[in-house]
Amino acid sequence: MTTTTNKMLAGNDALQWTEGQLGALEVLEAALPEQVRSGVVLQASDLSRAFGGLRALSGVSLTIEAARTTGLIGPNGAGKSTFFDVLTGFTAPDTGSVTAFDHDVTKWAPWKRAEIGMARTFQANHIATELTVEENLLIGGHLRLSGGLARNALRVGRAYRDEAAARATAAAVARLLDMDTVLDVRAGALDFGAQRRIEIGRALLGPARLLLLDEPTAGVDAVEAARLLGLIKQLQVDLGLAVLIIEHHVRSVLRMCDAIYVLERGELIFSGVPDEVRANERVRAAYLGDTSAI
Amino acid sequence: MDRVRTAARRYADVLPRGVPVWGYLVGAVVAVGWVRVASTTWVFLGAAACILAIACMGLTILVGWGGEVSLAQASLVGTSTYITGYALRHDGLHWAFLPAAALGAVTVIALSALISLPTARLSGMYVMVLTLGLQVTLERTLFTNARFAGGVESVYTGRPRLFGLGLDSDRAYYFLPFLVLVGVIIGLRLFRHSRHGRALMMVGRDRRAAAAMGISPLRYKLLAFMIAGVLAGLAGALTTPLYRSPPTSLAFISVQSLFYLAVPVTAGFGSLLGVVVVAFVFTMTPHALESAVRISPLLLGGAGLMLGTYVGPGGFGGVLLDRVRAGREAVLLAADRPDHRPAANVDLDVRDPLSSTVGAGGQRP
Repeated sequence: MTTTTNKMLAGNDALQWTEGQLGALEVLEAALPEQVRSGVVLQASDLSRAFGGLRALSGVSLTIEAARTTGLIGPNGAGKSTFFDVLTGFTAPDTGSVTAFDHDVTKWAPWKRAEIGMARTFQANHIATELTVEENLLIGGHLRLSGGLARNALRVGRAYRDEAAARATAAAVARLLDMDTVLDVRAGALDFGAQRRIEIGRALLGPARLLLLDEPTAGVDAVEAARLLGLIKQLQVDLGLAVLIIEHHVRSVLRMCDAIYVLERGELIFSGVPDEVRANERVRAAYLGDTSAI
Repeated sequence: MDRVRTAARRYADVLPRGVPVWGYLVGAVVAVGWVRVASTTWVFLGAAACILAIACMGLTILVGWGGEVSLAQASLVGTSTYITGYALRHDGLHWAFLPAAALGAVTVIALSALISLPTARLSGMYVMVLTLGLQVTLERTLFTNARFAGGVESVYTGRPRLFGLGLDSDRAYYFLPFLVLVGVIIGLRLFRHSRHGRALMMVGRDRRAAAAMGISPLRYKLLAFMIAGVLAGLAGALTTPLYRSPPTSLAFISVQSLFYLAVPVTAGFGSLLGVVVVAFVFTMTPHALESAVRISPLLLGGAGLMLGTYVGPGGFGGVLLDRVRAGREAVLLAADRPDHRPAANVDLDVRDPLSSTVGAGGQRP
């Protein structure tokens, strides 16, 4: 357990879990697979993708290191979401390869990538609004559960034990997301920010080792965005996860990420630690504009 | 006693919430007791309604849960009816009821599996056309074959004895489809709250999200077709003894598939009990109003399709359930504890000029 109640983040801001949340964190940590503590967890090499005459990605390479938060920024149309889709198997690259956890996953289907710990969220909410919060979270735990139709439906043997454990983990995740009192509420009855949290929680319920978050704060107000990003960073640090995050709150990205990649018009124009990104003339011209406020 | 309590906890969510025990007891007494006092015509219609409900629940799973569509359900029910009938008859295979019913059901499951394979790469309109193609093909082959459908001569199949119990009377036979219906509802409720049921629901709502969670949409698409096939097969196998001779193929033509679809559309795809209620209403209303006005069940189906679509995916059952759930959820939301949220005083300055003006891609309501 690496948790402390005053884990120091990149910006020297302390996050504090309640006692109950610390207990929930232990439950989640025990349920997650062994995290990769060092080295490279994902390597994207020379990825290109065109849609008709539009080159959405052009020879993009990226490395995600273990137990680190990596940022991916760029203006609209830079190809960030296409890049995410290629990494997670929703779009096949024209050229290049993706290696994750020592597997060449370039031709793997998305659900197979999920099996090795690649968990993603989407830019827009992709939750089942008429299902309850608990059901949505449990869907994330699909890969944790075993057994065929009959055993699961009849709730016997290991299938039942797995289900009970998944429900306990879902309750723990809900506690961390501050949603434990609304587990039984339909997701559609909650506000947009809460729905974003469900999606993050659902990703955690899988055998997550690498979280790929596509604009987790899209559509939420600044206060909720701050809470979400704080939560994500805290979970990343405490659980030892690797995280790749697309985010438009540039100040937050610069402070919460250990490495940042900048895309523009499908090309990688720069990568480095936040200070280098902040100082780079091309990045400033392409994306940040006047950085005096940062 | 502990075992009973453990089992009760394990299966508690199978029963709808908020219904007291006496509610279930009253429901059980009514569902069984009305058969003792109603005329045999009504009991016969009750059995037909149970069978209709079983077939329509297949569409609830396929359309409502799996997000697919089928216009072949009537032909699948008809296929099972005729195959079971042929297996039962003296001039057919002359099998006992259970193996004959199994043959009918297995045939339909095989057809469902066959039709589901190409749908793996199709969606929406194309699946509709494909299933309609199966419907018409069966109509023009199996249903016109006198060996199975009987042609102009009626063929007698009779009613079975099961476990030593004679089911020849309408009152006795009612309990067979009724108990199968109860079993189907319990089975589907158990499935719905299992790992696979949730996965199917997710695939029906958002295939990309399902795939990202490690769920193969193709696999669950096939599963939805298979379940619909199993239920169509069961319904067909129960239809054969109900009528004692196979009904005319008009009972299973294309427009009947729309009628089958009308039942879950009217009831709403979220309520299995709603499907039962609508199946009984659609089956019994024409007979109840017979002395005053002649109404075709198909007319009810057409009206149900329009009204159900107008009301929305939840159908009329969904409207009622929404009201019940909204009340319960309001209590839970009122008890939400914002003070327990983690302190997130990090990084993002709410006055950050970049937070909403630079590169604001994606969805922003």
